[in-house]
Amino acid sequence: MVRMKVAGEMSYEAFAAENPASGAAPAPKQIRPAPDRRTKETKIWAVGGGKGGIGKSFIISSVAQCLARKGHRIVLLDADLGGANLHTFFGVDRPRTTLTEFFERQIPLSSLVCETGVPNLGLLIGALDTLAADHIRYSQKMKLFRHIRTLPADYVLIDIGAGTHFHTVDSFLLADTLIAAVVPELISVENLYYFLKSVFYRKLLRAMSENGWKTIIFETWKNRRNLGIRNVKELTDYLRTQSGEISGVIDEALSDFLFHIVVNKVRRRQEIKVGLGVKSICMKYFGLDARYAGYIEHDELVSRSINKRQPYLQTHTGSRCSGQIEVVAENLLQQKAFG
Amino acid sequence: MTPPAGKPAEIIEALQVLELPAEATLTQIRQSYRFLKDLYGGESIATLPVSGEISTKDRQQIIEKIDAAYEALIRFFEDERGRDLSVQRSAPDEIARYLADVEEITGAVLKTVRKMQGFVPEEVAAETRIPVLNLERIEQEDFAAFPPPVYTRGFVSGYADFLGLEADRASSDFMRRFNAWKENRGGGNPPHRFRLAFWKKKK
Ligand SMILES: Nc1ncnc2c1ncn2[C@@H]1O[C@H](COP(=O)(O)OP(=O)(O)OP(=O)(O)O)[C@@H](O)[C@H]1O
Ligand SMILES: [Mg+2]
Repeated sequence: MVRMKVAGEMSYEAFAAENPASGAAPAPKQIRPAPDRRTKETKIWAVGGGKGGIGKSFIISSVAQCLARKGHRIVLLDADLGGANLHTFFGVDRPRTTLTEFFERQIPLSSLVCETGVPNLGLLIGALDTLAADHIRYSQKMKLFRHIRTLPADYVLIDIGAGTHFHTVDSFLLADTLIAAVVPELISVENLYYFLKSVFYRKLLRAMSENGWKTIIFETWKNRRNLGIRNVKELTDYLRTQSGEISGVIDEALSDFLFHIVVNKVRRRQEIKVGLGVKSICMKYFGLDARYAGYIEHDELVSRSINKRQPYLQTHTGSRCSGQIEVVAENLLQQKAFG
Repeated sequence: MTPPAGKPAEIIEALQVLELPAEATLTQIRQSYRFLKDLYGGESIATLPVSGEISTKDRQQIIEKIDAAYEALIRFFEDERGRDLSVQRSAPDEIARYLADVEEITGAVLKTVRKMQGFVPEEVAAETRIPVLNLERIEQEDFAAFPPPVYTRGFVSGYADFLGLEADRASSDFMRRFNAWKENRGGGNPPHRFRLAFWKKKK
């Protein structure tokens, strides 16, 4: 592939070509490889969590706007196959082109990206009109995932929709940055834990399967009562004792596994702390690394703007809620904890 | 993770138990400790959904780890600062018992809670950016020396929030007392003494 040269900078390859005398000598320190936008990998973020209108779509579409405003090129992928509605958050009509074209007519993904009215921000609708989600073959799905990475964007943000179906969980696991949304209510926290455990189990299952140990994890989980395993942490603790190799694979799978928690629809000050509590439980009970990225308060005007087909962030730039969304976006960018 | 210079590995580990970064301050350590003790010592929407998955014994172990980490960190900071930081430290449930009998959040209540949590005014000031002088005025209810009401309200609510008290209630309780005092002395204007100093400073 031809590398693009950025003014004032020269790639090592170019430097070596123009200076044959340098031969195999190590690259001089001051010459860095030119940053090539096309080879720079697209980062994927995904939001998931419980069901029941906790604001996953609102959060991801708002965070997308924040990133786009900062000058990042964003593609928002609506992978809520049953209930794609991200276009509504931008007040645009539902785009006609969807992933169906990609699967059935081999149309390239990049040409299916629609405008949202926000500069730097494109929308890709995942709704599969004729194809039931269950019928996408594994190979097709892997192809989609590969193509997502090649989209001309700095970040692809995915709304995976609700639920813990393996299709949903797989789209979530595709991401580099995992965002878990919750509202300060018992049911929502319960759903979130259930979701996180499913994600974790699937991640573990994949790592184990890749090493030919699928049956080990199945058998262990099936026998969990006899083995005294009550949760995912005890499952991994047990698997680790089985062999050094297994232990290494688990460590590897967990090493870059990090959840960013966002608490939405906060109505009282005390509810801000729910994020800290949930984070702590994830770490101490489930053995999962988690960070509290921030909270967003409940604002009546959110649904009112959506009903008026106005993007909330644009019509309420200075509101507290908008400020909190910006903090969340910034913390996610920096992989930082809130507070 | 490599420990940053100046902090031994067991201190970094203790900070991890309290879910804090390596550069955490003493104030953050205390806040996190109080928070985690409350979280694992009681039930809330964060713990209820998993209560069936964890035995009482495991839970007790987590609490013991938190306590041990906190003790180690306090000792570390004591050595570093060369003063006893733990004298006035009370357990969270002791503070809760004290608060249960409190009907109105006064300056004296704020002071007591601060002392029970083992903070000196300078630590509160560093965290909340409320000047020490104003913290002391609030604790002593030195109404005559107060800044204009909007500032006082903000200071009281910031202070209460820092202590983990209901900020709205604290500021409304406090402002009620402030207003009562103002009525008694028969004038609605902010205290002259402070005003002068305030405007002078601004210029
Ligand atoms: N911070 C907020 N304040 C007020 N209303 C909000 C807030 N966040 C979301 N909402 C409202 O809650 C509703 C559900 O939000 P949203 O569609 O984003 O949830 P969801 O988690 O994507 O739901 P689903 O699981 O059905 O996809 C919307 O009507 C939205 O207007
Ligand atoms: Mg949605």
